[in-house]
Amino acid sequence: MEYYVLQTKDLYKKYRNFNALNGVTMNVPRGAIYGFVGKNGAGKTTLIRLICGLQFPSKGEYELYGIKNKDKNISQSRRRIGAVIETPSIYLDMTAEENLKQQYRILGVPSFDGIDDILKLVGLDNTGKKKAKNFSLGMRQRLGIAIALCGSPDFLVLDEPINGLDPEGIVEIRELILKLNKERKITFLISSHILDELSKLATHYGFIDQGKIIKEMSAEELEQSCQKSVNIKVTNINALTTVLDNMNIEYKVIDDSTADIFAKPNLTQLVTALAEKNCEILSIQEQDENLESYFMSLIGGAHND
Amino acid sequence: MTNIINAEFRRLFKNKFFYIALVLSFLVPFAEMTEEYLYYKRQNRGGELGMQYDYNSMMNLVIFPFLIAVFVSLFIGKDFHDGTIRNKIAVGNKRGVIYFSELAVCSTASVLFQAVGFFSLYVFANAYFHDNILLKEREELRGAFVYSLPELLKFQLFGMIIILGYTSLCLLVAVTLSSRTRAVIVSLVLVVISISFGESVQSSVYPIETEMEAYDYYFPEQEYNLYEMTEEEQEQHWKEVEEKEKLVQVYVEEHRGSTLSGVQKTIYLVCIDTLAYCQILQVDYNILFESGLPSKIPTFVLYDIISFAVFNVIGVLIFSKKDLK
Repeated sequence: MEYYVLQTKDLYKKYRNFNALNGVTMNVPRGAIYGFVGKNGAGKTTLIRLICGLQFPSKGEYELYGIKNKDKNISQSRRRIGAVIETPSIYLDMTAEENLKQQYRILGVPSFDGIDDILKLVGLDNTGKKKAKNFSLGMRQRLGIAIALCGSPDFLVLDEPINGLDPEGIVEIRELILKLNKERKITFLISSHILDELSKLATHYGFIDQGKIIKEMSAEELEQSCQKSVNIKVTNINALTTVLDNMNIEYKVIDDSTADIFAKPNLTQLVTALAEKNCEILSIQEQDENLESYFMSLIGGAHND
Repeated sequence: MTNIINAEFRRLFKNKFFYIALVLSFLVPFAEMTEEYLYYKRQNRGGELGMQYDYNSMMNLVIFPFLIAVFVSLFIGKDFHDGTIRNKIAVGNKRGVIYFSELAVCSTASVLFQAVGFFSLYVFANAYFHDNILLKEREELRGAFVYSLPELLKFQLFGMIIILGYTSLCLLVAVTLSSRTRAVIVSLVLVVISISFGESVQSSVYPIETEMEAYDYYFPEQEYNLYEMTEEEQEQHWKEVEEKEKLVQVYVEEHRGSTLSGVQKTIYLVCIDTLAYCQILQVDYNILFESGLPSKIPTFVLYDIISFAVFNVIGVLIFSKKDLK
């Protein structure tokens, strides 16, 4: 059994004069919730379109369940994935149930037995004869996911699934994703630029910028990278750096009076040592680097390169 | 493939444009016949004297390309507009399979429109003009038609091939443009161009002057009164008319394209047999002269099948390479 559900290798996509993807290499492990992070226009949706067969790469290749995109059996691999790309693809003049029946027909599933379960799972079991055109945005999004769930896929690709949803809708979708991942062992690839929300779900991350993956890491690795720091302001920065060097503590000088310390120092020891060098502490503050600032620093770094 | 066809038929039967088009297919011949009936009624002839409506059964086919252009563009365009086409591709269906499934569904719908249109014409023409004196006098008791129903259905079968050609052209446009509005506009423009160019080719290859010439020659002005003739004389008269009309046809056919020259002549002579509208006109001309389907029908059918195949091959190639959103 392949460890990776999806692997891309040096994927390029060019539209006339614009390179949407510039050699994307990424790996989505089985069972993961893979947060695909990038600004608008970074290439997230383009990559998802390629994976779903809506578009064709200009160069490079990808594998779905170990089958290459040019292999004629790729359609068999695609049968194992479900996708909601940008807006949910639903028949607006049909009810939720009819929409699912339609997808079952497309898949050639002979019985409609699983439909009630799917509707219940996404919380649309009580919509009756209400047409999809009368659904709220959140309901449409859930219906889109329900359609993607037809045929029991083990890999779901969701492109900006919480875009435009109200806070309640966001929580609903988040809980649904976590439930599907936990109970049905479905692997997720979720693209989003709402990083705070993604950080509540993702087990793995891929950061994309200007059509290139700039970093790929697990949630644990990210947590280590988003280390806590203590911001300290003093009257004599040279005294501070000497003391920190003596205490063997990692730090970064911000300006001529401020520095970030990447550890939890023994405050009594630090204050005493600074007092001995006639250096006063003006302020001291603990701070977290969140996913957003980490992403920004990553992008900044990539641009500087 | 059956999965997609099954799903698409469900979508068709849920589609309001389909029902609107069906109703229109029924209403247009109904309105046409009603208008005709009222015309005769205004002249105090009631339904007792009508014309032969065999001609209309073919000529009405010209309406359907417009209807098909709008229907196919809206039906296919909606799939692209709502993004539901993605549901078919993302689960691994081959694009060729999707294309041919759409073709099967759109073709069925188009043929249904044609069938409903013919049914409506046949029923209302006969209902309004069941006592058609003109035909009764000729002892051909077929209500409003000279041809029998099986013969009329044979003409419709040929019409169906033309309808399928237009359907495949409109499908090609809709899939290429992937937009309802643009597809409607472009398809309608193409239909208008095909008809107006066809009209121009027809009138250039078979100019009305040639026909007038033949008529002047074979039917010199002479006065006669049918009511003063005996039955035998009438019969003889109609026979002569029929024979002379055949001679007119031969004369017109022998002089086809005689007013043209050079490249234009070559192009127009190819177009006269290949363009669907010109084919309809030629078949209609034969029907009008009561000489059945023209002898060139196998050639017409061959050209129609070739165009149908070409449109679909281009359509599948474009769709298979197309980047979708």
